[in-house]
Amino acid sequence: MRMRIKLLVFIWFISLSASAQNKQLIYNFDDLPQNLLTNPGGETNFDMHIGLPLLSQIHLSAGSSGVSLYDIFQEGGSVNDRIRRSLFKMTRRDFFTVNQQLEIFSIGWRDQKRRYYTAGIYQELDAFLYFPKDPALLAYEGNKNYIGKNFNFSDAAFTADALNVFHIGFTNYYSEDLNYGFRGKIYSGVFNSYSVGNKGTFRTELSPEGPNIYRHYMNGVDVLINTAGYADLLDAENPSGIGTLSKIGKRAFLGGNLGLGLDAGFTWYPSDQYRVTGSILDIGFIRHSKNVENYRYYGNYQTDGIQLLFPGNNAPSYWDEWEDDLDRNLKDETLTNSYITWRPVKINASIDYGFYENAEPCNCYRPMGRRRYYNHIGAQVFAMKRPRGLNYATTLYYDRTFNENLRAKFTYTADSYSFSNIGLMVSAKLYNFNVYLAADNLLDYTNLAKARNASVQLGFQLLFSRE
Amino acid sequence: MKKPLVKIKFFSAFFLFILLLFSCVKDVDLGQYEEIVLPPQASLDLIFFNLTSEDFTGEQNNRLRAADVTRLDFLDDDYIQNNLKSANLNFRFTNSFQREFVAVIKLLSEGNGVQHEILIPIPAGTTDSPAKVNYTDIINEDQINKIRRSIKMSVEITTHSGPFVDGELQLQSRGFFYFEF
Repeated sequence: MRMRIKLLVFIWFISLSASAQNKQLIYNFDDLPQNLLTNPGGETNFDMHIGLPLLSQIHLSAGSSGVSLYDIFQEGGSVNDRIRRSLFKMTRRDFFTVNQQLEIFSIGWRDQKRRYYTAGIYQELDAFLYFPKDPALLAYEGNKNYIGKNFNFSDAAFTADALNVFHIGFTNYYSEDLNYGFRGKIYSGVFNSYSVGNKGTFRTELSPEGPNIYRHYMNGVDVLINTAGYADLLDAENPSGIGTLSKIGKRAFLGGNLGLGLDAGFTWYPSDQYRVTGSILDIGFIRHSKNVENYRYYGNYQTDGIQLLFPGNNAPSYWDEWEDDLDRNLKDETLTNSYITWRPVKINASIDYGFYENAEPCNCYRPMGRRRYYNHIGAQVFAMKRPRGLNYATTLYYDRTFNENLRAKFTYTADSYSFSNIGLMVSAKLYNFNVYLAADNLLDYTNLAKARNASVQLGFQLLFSRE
Repeated sequence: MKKPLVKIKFFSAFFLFILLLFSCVKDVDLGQYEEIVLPPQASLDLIFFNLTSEDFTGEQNNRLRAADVTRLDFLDDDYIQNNLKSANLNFRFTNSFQREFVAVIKLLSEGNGVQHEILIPIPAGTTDSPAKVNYTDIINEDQINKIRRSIKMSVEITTHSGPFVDGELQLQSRGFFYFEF
């Protein structure tokens, strides 16, 4: 009984938060090469693939854990009342996220030892912003009704990245029961902005023992915003001109800030019908040294206002002295220091059960010596590292192969956006041409304004088998 | 070969159509963004002082006088010029002199033109029982340009002439500023 309670608490806990980069529909889907991007140790149900350039994977997702478009802009009533209610409802753990990926080039092939190699380039845009509760409250409400409250600057945290990823990987069939794989990545950063670990508080206190009514405090302030790939675009005379596009293009193709990364994964069959998989993605970093600007604001300060001294004719410049004192104690600097950002590590793990055996003759070039099944039901856990810790999502899925040309996957995902995320993916093959379309949060598609998040993926590619 | 390609096109178009058919954004009015107002209310310390008898000089018309002025450059900032809707200025005097005073507080423009004037009589007190005055001047939306045109605050304290008995005259002040962004 105690174990059951622990399990329920665990499921509830991991359901509280999630990520927009969860590709629960593609994970374990061995008819698609994109499965290998979510697990380099995954299986592939083909012997060669060529993605149609720019079309083999188009992925878009966006999410907001605390508020939907409908919560703010629903018809009727006062939009300002709703904003105020949302402001108080949301916490510093709520977040907004946008992720977009576009596969530029993708190819893969199987060698004579049944290993599957992949290479490709994809472009990614990822932005993640925690709701800055205290700074937002201060901006919206002011300090008048919050005398004695600490407004905490650590609530402000965000990351934004635009980059190209060049990758090459392989999947090795160690035995009939175990596959493992690795993928090496070179990150070519186009733009980065990173502000995490900010510190400090602003507080206004009644000051019965002091010389004035209040005392205003800025304590332990240290706010740092790192940027790379931003400064020269801002300075450009024509930010949308050919020169700027050329700069972005160079950075996208290894001319900017570079980094290295690694993916790893495995597939293990404890028995014919049970399959266990796991992967860890984007263990890597980018070193930002080119076109870097860091904006820092730091120090301690307290003030009671301006004291008049009544000196007679030569009145001091009270305001200038007050401002000088402020500037001496709270410093504002623009620096050009290099910095390193770690990529958001993602972890997948799953267990599933196959049934309704597929008795079609197998392809002996592939490690398919074991029994195969048309249907799989399973559970998957996804975790992703974000600045304040791991975000999680849990998925239950049903994967159904209708025939060798048509397959679908249904998912139910619980995450911090909702407990009613139903997803569907359909993949079809006609001769060597494959097309797939995946979308989650289908229940919210009838009114996307009420959705806390939504994602869609689609792609076209050529798949070949040595039959 | 032509037929399968047609099927693929049909297949992809069908699913995109289904997705688009059921996907819509409704029951929302995005035009409401024009009504969004951020209404912060700020409480800020302003000036303070502690006057003793030595600060009073000059004898004009049998009156003693102490005066000073400070710039308040933040009154020229955009958020005051564009977004300040109203303001309350709160002044708290504590008088332990056994004599009355009159305080005149003025908001002045760059050229020292008087934009707003507040006159506060301060009754006599004693060291043991100082007189306290808590005066709030309300500057509403119709008058807010007085603040927008101002950049300095002056204080003039006058009292009748004659010898002082020990005591102090203190001022504490704050402003409540009501914005709409």
